Amino acid sequence: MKFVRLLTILFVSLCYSQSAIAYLDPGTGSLLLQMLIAGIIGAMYTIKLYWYRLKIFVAQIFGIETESENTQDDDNLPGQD
Amino acid sequence: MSKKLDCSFRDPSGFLFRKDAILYRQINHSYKENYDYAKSSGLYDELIELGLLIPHEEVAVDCLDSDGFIVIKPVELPFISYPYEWSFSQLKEAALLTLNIQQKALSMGLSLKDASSYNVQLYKGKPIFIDTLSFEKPSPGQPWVAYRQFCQHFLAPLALMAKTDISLNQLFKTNIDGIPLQLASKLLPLTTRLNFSLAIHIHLHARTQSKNASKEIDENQLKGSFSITSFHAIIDSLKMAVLKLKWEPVGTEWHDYYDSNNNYTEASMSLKKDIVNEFLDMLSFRSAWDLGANNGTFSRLVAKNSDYVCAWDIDPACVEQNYRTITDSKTTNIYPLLLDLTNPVPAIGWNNKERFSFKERGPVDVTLALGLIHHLAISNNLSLDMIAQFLSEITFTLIIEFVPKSDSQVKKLLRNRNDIFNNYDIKNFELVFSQYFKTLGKRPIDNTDRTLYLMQVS
Repeated sequence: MKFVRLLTILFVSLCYSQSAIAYLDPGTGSLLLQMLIAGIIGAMYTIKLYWYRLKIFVAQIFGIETESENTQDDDNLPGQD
Repeated sequence: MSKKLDCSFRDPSGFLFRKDAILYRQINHSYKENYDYAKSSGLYDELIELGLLIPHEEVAVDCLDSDGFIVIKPVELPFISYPYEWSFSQLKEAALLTLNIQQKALSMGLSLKDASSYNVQLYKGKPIFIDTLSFEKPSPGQPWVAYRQFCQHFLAPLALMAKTDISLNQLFKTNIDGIPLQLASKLLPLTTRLNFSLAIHIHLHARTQSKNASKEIDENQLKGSFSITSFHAIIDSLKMAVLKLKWEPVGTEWHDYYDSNNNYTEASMSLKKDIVNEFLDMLSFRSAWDLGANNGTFSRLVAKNSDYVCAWDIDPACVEQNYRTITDSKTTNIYPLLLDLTNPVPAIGWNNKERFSFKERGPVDVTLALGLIHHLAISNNLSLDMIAQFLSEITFTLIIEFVPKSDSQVKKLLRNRNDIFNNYDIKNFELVFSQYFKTLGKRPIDNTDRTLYLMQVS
């Protein structure tokens, strides 16, 4: 377990760079956590993105208007920015 | 005469100052590259056009010191409020606004370098981002530097309000940089550990923080591999976590006061509104406070002729209902805010000057104190003199309702305690208030024992 933790810290230390003007302490634990969850959350996000695109594709085939089009919530959908 | 604002010192990118009573923001050379990029990329224009960021213009005003390269003049807000005064929905909308802005910034190669709830204010009935200097180019491969701050300022308080107790946004008062995640993790119910988003962003986050608090990261070694997709995924995950948190304004003492538990018939309530309107017509005013506003029924009368009205109430459910009402009706000049008048918001932060106290944000032109005096005098043992003096310090004119002991609401307050309030009657009320105010109008409300007064500070 200690070995895994050491590896994680080493990984983050190789990855992390301080922005030239960053003034906020991002917190070691907060940076580590983001690195740790990036895989699973990234995978969920990618699945969601493709699911949304599939829905749009199917809706277009059947000529159905997609939910929340032109609403504020549309911005919340992945891949829209 | 120029004066730097005491609340603007954390970010070395610039600061706010006043010159001849006008609000300006100095931008320092250290932020020039990011400012130019935010401008040339079109991010500022897009956010301002969408009403997400406070508009500003570049002005030919001298910088206050040699660090500065340009001065901008942001639109000045009528009133500043703080997250410990907000309803659940206002804080939730502020969180979503921050994440929406972060998504738009990311799509243009920028990122928020902070995620403070104090960077959001209510403006024209909607939350708006007020810190023009919060954007920076993130270094490639770097996780979000403001992730912890977002969780402390938004996710943790919202989760606590929704899952533990609605009053827990008051923890902001003792934690100027948001609610510590270890504390939030302790206070949240065990069931939230089964909620994926909260388990990750609060509980695991708190644990990771405490386990790694003393660890050092070598900041000089660059070249990370935290991809832009990972960055988007974190923001999306936080957004989903916030969207899932809900709270309904029911079950508190005052949430249905006007519907079920008041001292008025429909006719006398209508008369009360007419009298208040009549008093308001006699005045010219721009700012107003409604103390004990409940769901904002009377705040709406004042709002017709005022630049803004703060509808203060002690009950989070009333403030929530009022916030939903102003949002639904697209009302632009009412601020529904939480306030315990017997313990008003203090000045907090560095040197007690970062965040203003309740009184420092006054005095206002008009204050409504309807159905309030008996709670202050009888529930809180305040003398009429203390109440009159306090009111004379926060307002220039006052519309106040005297509620005598014969009123059913006062009888309720005295039901289980000794009546030690020998001086609490209309004669003494008029005598004491005449030491601070001149009475301009007096009207009894038919079919009740109550009387309305219009008073002006003498």
